[in-house]
Parts: sequence; structure tokens; C-alpha cells
Amino acid sequence: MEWLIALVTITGILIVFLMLGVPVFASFWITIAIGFFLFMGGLSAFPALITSLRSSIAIFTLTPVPFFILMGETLFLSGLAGGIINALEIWLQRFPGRLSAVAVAAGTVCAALSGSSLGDCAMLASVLTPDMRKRGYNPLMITGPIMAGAMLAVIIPPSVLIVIIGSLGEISVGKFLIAGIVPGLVMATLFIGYIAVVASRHPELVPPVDMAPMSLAMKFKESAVSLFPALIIIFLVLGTIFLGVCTPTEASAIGAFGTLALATAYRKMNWRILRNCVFTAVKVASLALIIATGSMAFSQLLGFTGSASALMQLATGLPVPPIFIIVATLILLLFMGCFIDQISMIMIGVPIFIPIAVALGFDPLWYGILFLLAIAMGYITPPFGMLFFVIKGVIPPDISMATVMRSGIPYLILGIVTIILIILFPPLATWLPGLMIK
Amino acid sequence: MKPLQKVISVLNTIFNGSLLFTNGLSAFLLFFMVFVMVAHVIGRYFFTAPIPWAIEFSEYFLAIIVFMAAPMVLKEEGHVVIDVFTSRLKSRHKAVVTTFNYCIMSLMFLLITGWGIQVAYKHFLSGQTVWKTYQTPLWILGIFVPLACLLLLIQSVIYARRYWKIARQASSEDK
Repeated sequence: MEWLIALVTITGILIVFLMLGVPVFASFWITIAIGFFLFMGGLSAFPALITSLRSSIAIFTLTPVPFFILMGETLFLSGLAGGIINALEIWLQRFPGRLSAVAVAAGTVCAALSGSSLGDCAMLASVLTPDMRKRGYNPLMITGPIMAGAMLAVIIPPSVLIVIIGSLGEISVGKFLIAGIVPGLVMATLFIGYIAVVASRHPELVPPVDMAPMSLAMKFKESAVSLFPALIIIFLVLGTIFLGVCTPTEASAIGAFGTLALATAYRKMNWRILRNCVFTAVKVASLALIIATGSMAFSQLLGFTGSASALMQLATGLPVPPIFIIVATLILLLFMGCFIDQISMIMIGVPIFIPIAVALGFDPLWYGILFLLAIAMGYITPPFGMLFFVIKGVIPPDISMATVMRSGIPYLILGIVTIILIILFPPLATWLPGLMIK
Repeated sequence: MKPLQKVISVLNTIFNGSLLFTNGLSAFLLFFMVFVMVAHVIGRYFFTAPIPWAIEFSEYFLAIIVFMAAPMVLKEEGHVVIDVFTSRLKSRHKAVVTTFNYCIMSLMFLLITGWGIQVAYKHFLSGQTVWKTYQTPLWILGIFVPLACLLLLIQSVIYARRYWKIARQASSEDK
């Protein structure tokens, strides 16, 4: 049981430093350094640690991360994303709970353009909240749909977290990105369906439909200019990956370039915005990927102490159906989501859970999507879901934190419903990647 | 201005300049990578002439971007932190815990800087290269880790001192 002592020591040290408020990347570095010292031969193991810090991120499959972030920043800071929301409003004008549905629909489109839930949430909240308040939407129908729409950015490609999980878990990043499309759309459909039901059954929560009907031709005319850049960017990224024309890295670079070019063509780009876009992208990429620098050393530590293989043997030897173990890992991830951030969950979960799923005979792509959905729920899991804090910083102060948290619960339940659907119907995750042109 | 203050002010200017430079280098490399990858794809499909070093160097650039931007992110206190418990502490206690955190971080950055320089120097002496097409010397890639950690170390020491002052101030106000 030496592995158990090692595992408890490693996780114990990590939890102590994380809870003390040491930055997540430093907590991992400290834990790994102590772990290397205790279990891997003292100071003589340190050169391997230094090398692994660099090697962990000098990986081609991780290079889309800064490009996807640059794409998202360009969309938000240039104002291109705002036009997309206006265009979607035209198409959903007769829908019950129109602006709530627009929040989810805009979240879905923005998710296909950027990989940042936090950025999407701040943008959607700042654009939609004033209008929703003016029209008399109940706060529950304002914050809930906005957070739910923003959460989709984690699932619908281009998603930064998909790239990181795929890269660390040795799942094909291209297939994994495409695999996120159907579950993301299923989730968005459930969200919009829920909004329609609530708006119909509780009309006091949303104002009545107040826009005059518009002809189809008029709708196309009004929305074409604003939706055109979105369609181009979606094709540049997802289309080129799906058709096998580009690798995810190449597609993400083309997407970033295309977004910069479109923002310039729409006269929404200047030197100040360009500078902000690039520097913000560098900052966000650095704070996300610096955590991943410890991934290789952390896996080495788990491997060297025998923890990874012992956990795998334990899981595969349990006298329960394998699907129970998968469900248990997902419940554990949902619980972790209440307290820690997504990249930490990836760092801890990927080296342990994905090998277990593979050893149990499950498709890593299918499990990867379940893993992704479980950690995405962490964005709206009380009490520390990150989107609560982002949206609270943007909405009027009279909407309390309790209301914000309460508004997220139905969407959290619908997210869990999506997880159950994918467990029951695996092709929801695996069908589309199977159609990809190699 | 006293001579010591003058020296500190000059060191401060040099340090801040270094942070701006490393952050600027990261931004430049990101922008450069976008154009290189686009040119690589266009070259491959339209001129049957891809850029042969694009893929290999994009991996190295990614590592450089991440490490070189990290000190500036620390200066802005922008790194991801789990403040589940620390957010509930009184300001004085929080300042004490933060001081402790930065001291521990300083120690760790010091270790990594020292070992990192040693590893890079060994690679330099042995002339080891990366086992890829361009055989880039390992020390060039390896030196960015201790370089970033040196800047992270200085920033951590600055913050440890600052938060210690805050803790002491809060303590004297309580009295």
C-alpha cells in the first residue's frame, strides 16, 4: 500500500496549497517538487522536473490554445460579437422568452467562435442585461440563460479545454473538437426548450412578445451582414478540420487570422484594439497553460509511485459493472467542480480517469466528452462556479448572488441530463467524428 | 534621494522593463506564429511549398510565450487562485497567509531557477540538441524556464514584502 501513502501525501499537499490560495500553477509545482524529492530519489530527480516543465507544453497539439483565445478576444474587443446578437434577435423575435432564448442562441454561436466561457459570459451579460431589465424580465430568466449560453463555449469547438484534455489525455484533438458539436447542440436545444416551457407556463417571468412579425426575406436581409463573419470564421476553423484540410493548429491560426481580417474589413479594428487583443490573448494563454506545465511531471509522479497503475487495477478489479465506475468518476468531477477550477480538474483527473476508462474498454473520445461536460458543469455549480462571479460583476447590484446561483440550477440539471443522454446514446459523441475526412 | 533609494529605484525600473520586454516578446511571438501558420497552409496548398520549420518552431514558441508572459501575469496578480477559504479571512489574516504563500513560492522559484540554470549549462557544455529536424540546441529552449522563474522569484519577493507590510499595518490598526 505504499502507493496509497504516496497518493494521499501528494493530493494532501496539493489540496493544502490550493486552499491556502497559492496560485494553482505554483501549487502544482510545489507539490511536484516535494513529490519528486520524497518519492523519486531526492534532489537528483530535479533535472527531470525542470525538463518536464518545458516539455509539458512544447507540444504541437497544444498550440491551438493561444490562437483560439486570440480569436475570441478579437471578436469581443472589436465588437463583431455584438452584431451577431442583434442578428439572432431578428430570428427569434416571436419566440416565448425571446431575449432569454437569444442569450442561449448567442452563447451557442459565440461558442463556435471563441473558446472562452468567461469572455462569452461577460460579453452576453453586458450586451443583453440592460435591455432585458428594461423589458421586465425576471432576474432568473436573465442570469440563468446567459450563464447557460456562456457555458457552451467549453463544449462547442473551438474549445480551449478540449485542446488541453485531448493533448494531455492523448485523444485526437481534431476528432475531439468535432465530437463536441453534437453534445453542445443537444445541450443548447434543451436550454432553449426549457426557456420556451417556462415562458409559456409562467408568463409573469417574461414580457409578452412585443415585436412585429417580419418576412423571411427581410430577416435574411437584416441579419446577413452581421452573421456573415460568424459563418466565415466557423467554416475557417471547423470546416477545415472536418474536411481534413488543416490540423487543429493550422485551423486555429487561420481562424485567428480570419477574425483579425474580418474585424479590419468591418472597420472595427485599430492599433489600440489590436494591441489589446494580442496582449490579452497572451495573458489568458499564459495563465491557462502555465498550469499545464506541471502535467507531465505530475503524471510521472503518479506513475513512479505506482498510484496510477494501482488505481487502475483497483477500478478494473471492482465487482461492479464498468459503467458504474465511469458514473462514479463523473460524480467525483461534478463534486470537484464545486470547489476547484476546470484546469486543475483536468490536471488531476486526466492522468487518472482517462486511463481507467480505456482500461475498462470504453472509447476515450466518448469518455473525453463526458469528462468535458462534467467539468463544464463546474462553471455553474454552487457555491464557487466561476460564471457566478463573472456575471455578478456585470449585472446591476440589486440582483443578488443567491438569485444568480438559483437561476443556474435548472441549467445544471439539464447539463446532467445531457451527460445521461450521452451515456445512454454514445453515438451522440462519436458519430460526427466518425464522418471526418482523414 | 538617498543613494540606497536611488539604487532600488534603478533596479525597479530595470525589473519592470524586463517584464515589459518578456511580455512584449510573448505577444510578438504569438502574432508571428499566426502569420507563419497561415503562410504554411497557403504555401502547402497553393505553391506546394510549406514552411518546413513552422510546426517544430510553433511548439518551442508556445513554451516561450507561456513562460515569458507568466511574470507579468503574476505582477497583475492574474494567475488562477482558489480563494474558497482565504476570501473569508479578515484582511490581516489574509495578508499574513498571502505573505506566507509568496515566501513559499519564492523558495520554489529560487530552486527552479538554480536547477534550471544548471541543467541549461550542462546542455550547453554537452552540446545536446532536440531530436527533431532542426536539432535546436536544448539549452536555448531550456533557458527560458529559469529565466521566467528568476522574474517570478523577484516578483514574489516584492509581493511577500508588500503583504507583510499590509499585515503589520493592519495589526497596528487593530491595536
